[in-house]
Amino acid sequence: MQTLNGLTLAGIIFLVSSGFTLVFGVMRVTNLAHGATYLLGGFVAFSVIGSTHNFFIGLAAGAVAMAGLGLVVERLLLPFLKHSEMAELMATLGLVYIIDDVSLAIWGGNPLNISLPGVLGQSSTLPFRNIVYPNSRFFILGVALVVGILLYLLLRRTRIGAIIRAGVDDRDMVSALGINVRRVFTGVFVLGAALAGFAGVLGAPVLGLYTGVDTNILLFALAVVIIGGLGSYEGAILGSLIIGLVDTYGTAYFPAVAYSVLFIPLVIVLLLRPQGLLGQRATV
Amino acid sequence: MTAPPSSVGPGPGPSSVTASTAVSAAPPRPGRLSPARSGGIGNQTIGPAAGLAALGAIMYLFVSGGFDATIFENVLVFAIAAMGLDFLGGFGGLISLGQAGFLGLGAYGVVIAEVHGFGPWAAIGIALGTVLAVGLVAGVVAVRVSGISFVIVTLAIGQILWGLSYEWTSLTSGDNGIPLTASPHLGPLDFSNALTLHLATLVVFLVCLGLLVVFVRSPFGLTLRGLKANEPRLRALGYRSGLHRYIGFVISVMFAGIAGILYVFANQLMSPTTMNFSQDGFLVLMVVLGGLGSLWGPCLGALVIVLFQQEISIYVARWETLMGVVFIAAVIFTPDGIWGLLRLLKGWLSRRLPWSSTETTPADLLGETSSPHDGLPV
Repeated sequence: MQTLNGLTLAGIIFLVSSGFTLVFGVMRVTNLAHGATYLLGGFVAFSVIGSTHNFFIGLAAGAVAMAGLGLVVERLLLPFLKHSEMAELMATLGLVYIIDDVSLAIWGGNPLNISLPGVLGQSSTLPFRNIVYPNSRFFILGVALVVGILLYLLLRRTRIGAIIRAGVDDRDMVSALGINVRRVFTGVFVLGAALAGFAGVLGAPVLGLYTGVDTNILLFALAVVIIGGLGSYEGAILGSLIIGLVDTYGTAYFPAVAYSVLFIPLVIVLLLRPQGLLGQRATV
Repeated sequence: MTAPPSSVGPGPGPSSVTASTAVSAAPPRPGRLSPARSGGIGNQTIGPAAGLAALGAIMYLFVSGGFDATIFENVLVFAIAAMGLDFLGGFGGLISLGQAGFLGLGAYGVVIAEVHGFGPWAAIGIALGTVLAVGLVAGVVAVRVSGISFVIVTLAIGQILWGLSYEWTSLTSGDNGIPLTASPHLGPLDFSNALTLHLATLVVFLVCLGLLVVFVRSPFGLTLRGLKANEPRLRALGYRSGLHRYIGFVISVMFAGIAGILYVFANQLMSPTTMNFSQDGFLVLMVVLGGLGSLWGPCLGALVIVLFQQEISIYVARWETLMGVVFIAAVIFTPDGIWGLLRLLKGWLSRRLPWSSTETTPADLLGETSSPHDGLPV
C-alpha cells in the first residue's frame, strides 16, 4: 500500500524533475520557477476542466499553456541574463513570486481539487491482499511510466535526443558542429515547462492544488537532482523513486518529521558522492 | 541608510563623537583592501556626518515609537540576516537560499525554550546553541558542493527546517505559531519596553556590522574572497578551501540565528511563514538588490524590501507580483544592485563636477557610500 503510494508520488516527482534536470543539463539554467510552473499548470487545467468538463482537455491545456509560458520565459526573459547562471537562478526566483501571487489572485487560496472522470475516478480492489486503491493513482503511475519511456526513447533513439545528450556533455562542441543550439535550448525549455504543467494536472488529484504545493514540488525536484545528479535523466528516474518512497514511508511512519526524513538520502549522497549518484563530476 | 560612518583616522568633523560610538565608527569601508583609494578630504568629514545623521534619524524614529519604529526594527533584524548572507555570498561566492530557515531556527529556539520553562536569557543561549549545532551539521553537507549546487542544497536545508516548523506540531504548534512569553531584563534595562528593545536591536545590529567588517578584512575574509575569485590557485597555495567555506557558512548562519532571536522579541510571535520559501527569497533579494559583496548594500536592500512588505502592501494588493517584477528588473539592469548604481552615479558625478571632492557636494556624500568593493589585488 505505502509502496504503491510511494511509486505514485515518484511518478509525479519524476515528471517534474525530469524537466528540471533536462533544462539544467542542457542549458545550465536552474529554473526555480519549475514548481510554480507545476502549480500553474494544475490551475489552468482546473479552469479548463471547469468549463469543458473534460479531464483530458484540461490535461492537454495545462501542458500546452505551460509550454507557452516556457516559450515566453525562454525567449523574452533569459536572453537578458547573458548566460549568467546565478542571474538566471535569481530571475526565475523572481518569477516564482509573480506566478504564485497571480495565481493566488485568480484562483484564491483555498485548495482546489481535480477529480478524474469515469472509471478512473473510482477505486478498485487489488486481487491480492484485498486492498482498495483508487484507479486514479494507477492511471498516474501508468502515465508517468509511459512518459518516462517516451522521454527515454526520445533521448536515446532519436537525432534530437542525441543532440540534447551531446549538449549536456559539451555545449560549445555541439554549437561548433553547426547545430542551432538556440533552437535546441528553446525546445528543451518548452519541453521542461510542459512536463511540469502536465505533472501539475496529474498531481492535483493526489497532492491537492493550492499555493504552497509548488514549494513542496520544488523541494522534491531539488532533492531528486541532488540525489540523481544535476542534468542526468537516469538520475532523475532513480532520484524520483528514492524520494517518492522515502517521503511516503516517512510521512506514514514519522508524520511529524517527514520533511527531515527527506534529508537522510540527501546527506548520504552528498557525503559520499557530491555530484549525485549518476551525475558527472563537475568540470569547472 | 543605516550606515554608520566610515572614517579612517580622525577627520576634522565630529570625530570625538564617533570615537565614543566605537563600534559604529571602527569599521571603515567594507571589504576595502587598500585604504583611501578614492576618498578626498571631504569624505572623512561627510562620512561620519552622514552616518551620524542616519543614526540620529533611527533614534528619532525609535523614540517617537509606533508602527514605524517596529518596521524599522524589522529592517535592522533582516539587515543582520542579509549581511550574514552577503558575507558568504558576496565575499565567498556561495549564495544560500536557506538563510530564513536559520533565522527561524533562532526564533523558534527562543520561544520553544521559553515554553519549556527556561528564562529569556537561557532561551537566547539555547537558541544560539541550536543554530550553531544545526549550522555545524548542515555545513558539513552544504559545503560539499559549490555554485548552483550550493544554492540548491541550502534551499533544501532551508525547506527542511521550514517543514519541521510546519509539521512538528507537538513542538512548534504548526501553522498557529508560538507567542513569546517573556522578554529579558538586564539590570535596570527591561527589554519588554519597546524603546529599550529598539535600541538594543540597534546596538546588536552595529555590533554585527562591526564583526562582519572585521571578518571581511581579516586574513580569513581575504581567503574567502580569494576562493571566490580563483579557487584552484588558492588550493594550489595550500589553502583548505572546504574548511574555509565551512567556517564561512557557520558564521553566516549564526547571523541569521541572531536575527531570528531579535525578530521574535520584536514581533512577539514565531510562525512558519517567517521562514518559508518566500522569506529565503526575500533575503537573497535584499542582498542582490542592495549589492552583493558590499555589506552596506544588504542593509539598503533590507530597508527597501521591508518597506515594500509593510508599506506598499497597504496600497497594492498584489505587491508580491510587483516585487517579483522589481526583482527581475534588478537582476537584469543592475547586476551590482543599488550599491552598484550609487557607484555608477558617483563616477558620473565626479566626471561632470570637477569640484566634487570639496566638502559640501552631494557627490561627495555618494563617494562615501560607494567605495570599490570587489578589487582583489593578488
